[in-house]
Amino acid sequence: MNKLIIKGEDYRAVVDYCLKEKPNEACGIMAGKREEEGGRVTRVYLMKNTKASPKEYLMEPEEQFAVFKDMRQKGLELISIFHSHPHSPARPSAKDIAMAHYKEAIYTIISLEKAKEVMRAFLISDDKYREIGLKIEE
Amino acid sequence: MAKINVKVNGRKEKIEERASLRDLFNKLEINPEVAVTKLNDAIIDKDRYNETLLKENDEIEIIFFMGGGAFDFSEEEIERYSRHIILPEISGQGQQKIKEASVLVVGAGGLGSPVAYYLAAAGVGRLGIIDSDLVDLSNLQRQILHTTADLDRPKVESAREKLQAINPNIEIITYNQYLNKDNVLEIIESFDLVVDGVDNFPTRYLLNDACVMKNKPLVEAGILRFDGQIMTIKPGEGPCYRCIFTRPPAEGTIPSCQEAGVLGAIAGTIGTLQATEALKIITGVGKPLIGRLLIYDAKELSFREVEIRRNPDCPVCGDNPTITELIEYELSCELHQQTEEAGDNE
Ligand SMILES: [Zn+2]
Ligand SMILES: [Zn+2]
Repeated sequence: MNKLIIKGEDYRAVVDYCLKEKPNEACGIMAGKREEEGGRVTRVYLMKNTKASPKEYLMEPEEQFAVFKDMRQKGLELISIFHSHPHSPARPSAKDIAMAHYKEAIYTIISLEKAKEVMRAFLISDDKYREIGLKIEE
Repeated sequence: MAKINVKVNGRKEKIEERASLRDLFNKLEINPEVAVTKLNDAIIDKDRYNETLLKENDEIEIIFFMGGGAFDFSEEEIERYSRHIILPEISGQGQQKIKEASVLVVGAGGLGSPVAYYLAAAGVGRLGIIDSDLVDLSNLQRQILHTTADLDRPKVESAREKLQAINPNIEIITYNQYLNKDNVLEIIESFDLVVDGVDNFPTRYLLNDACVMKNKPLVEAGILRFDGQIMTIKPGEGPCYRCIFTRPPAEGTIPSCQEAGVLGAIAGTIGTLQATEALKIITGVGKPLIGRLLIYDAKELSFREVEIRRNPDCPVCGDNPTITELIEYELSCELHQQTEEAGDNE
């Protein structure tokens, strides 16, 4: 996947959730369809950060199982795993890279460091990351 | 071998009869350490993967942990340290170690100036500076932390100003006091590493003994006339200063800086090497000067190395230490620097 395609309303829902959870990191899953142009998000799952911390996040396995079950029932694919960086830039940290176990997924990071949020999308594999495009469709 | 059908994350999978969950992970090349597994809706503990055998039509759900952490630098810091971060040996992780490190620089003088400047610029997160002196006109020939406008100001104040101007992101802790046997252990306690920039015998021995007792790495150095020397002491991993020079030399045998003078730039050369050693220890890059005394001859522009071994009879780091409490030698202007020839390695 070379692009993350997300609807304006989903984009805002994600950013609002991250702002609501600030100063802690927020996290969640974006599901949809893998298309030729990129991964198209049609549903966003806002998840609990079990770490409740401004410096790290970890999703709750049971909640993750439930989301994957729901995705399968709705015929959705995993497109992206997102989380916020409340006080730092939208770049994968060493821990983000070490914990990027879903090789096919897009890792999306929302930085709330500045007044205006910054969302960036990455592919992470073999301890390296590569930024890909982000398209917000109204 | 007979095969059975199971479902993994909703997909059909054929595996051998009597295969365990562990076998399934091996087949799918999944690292069980980063996954959580449900078998027919019940989470299976990692310890039971080997003994859990799969049956026809079992439904297995596997998820990987979804987690991570904050990026540790602001955009400003990434730009500031970009020449470090771009070095593969340091990278973001090494710069993170530098940011998390705390270093005590003893003395804001000739050696302490370049040490503190480079460590502050490198982004050492907590930098301690201890010095009880005021800036004197005769200091300015080599103590580049201070300027003519700083005359008669406490050196730690002048130092803090310059260092904070270079790097406002770091924390600077100043001690406007003389290091002695009553305060040294407490002061070094809260730092990861100590750099000796004082260059007199009482402080050198005090720091050596205190760092051995507290198990803190110490970057030791001395300068005189046109020469300098430096070694890194890592208690437990190599010799300490007393392994070479069991006790300070007799008074009058070695001239002081004041009597003998020193070419100012030598402080820059040796202090910069001290800062380099500190950064190597922090990041784990390269081979520190442990068990090696490096001697610099500026007139010849030559460096030579003297190999030093840990002395099992060393009174402080040896097998049966006799110095178990700190000793404070008299500060005498006569005592300055000893060379390995002058040392009495008994
Ligand atoms: Zn992160
Ligand atoms: Zn020793």
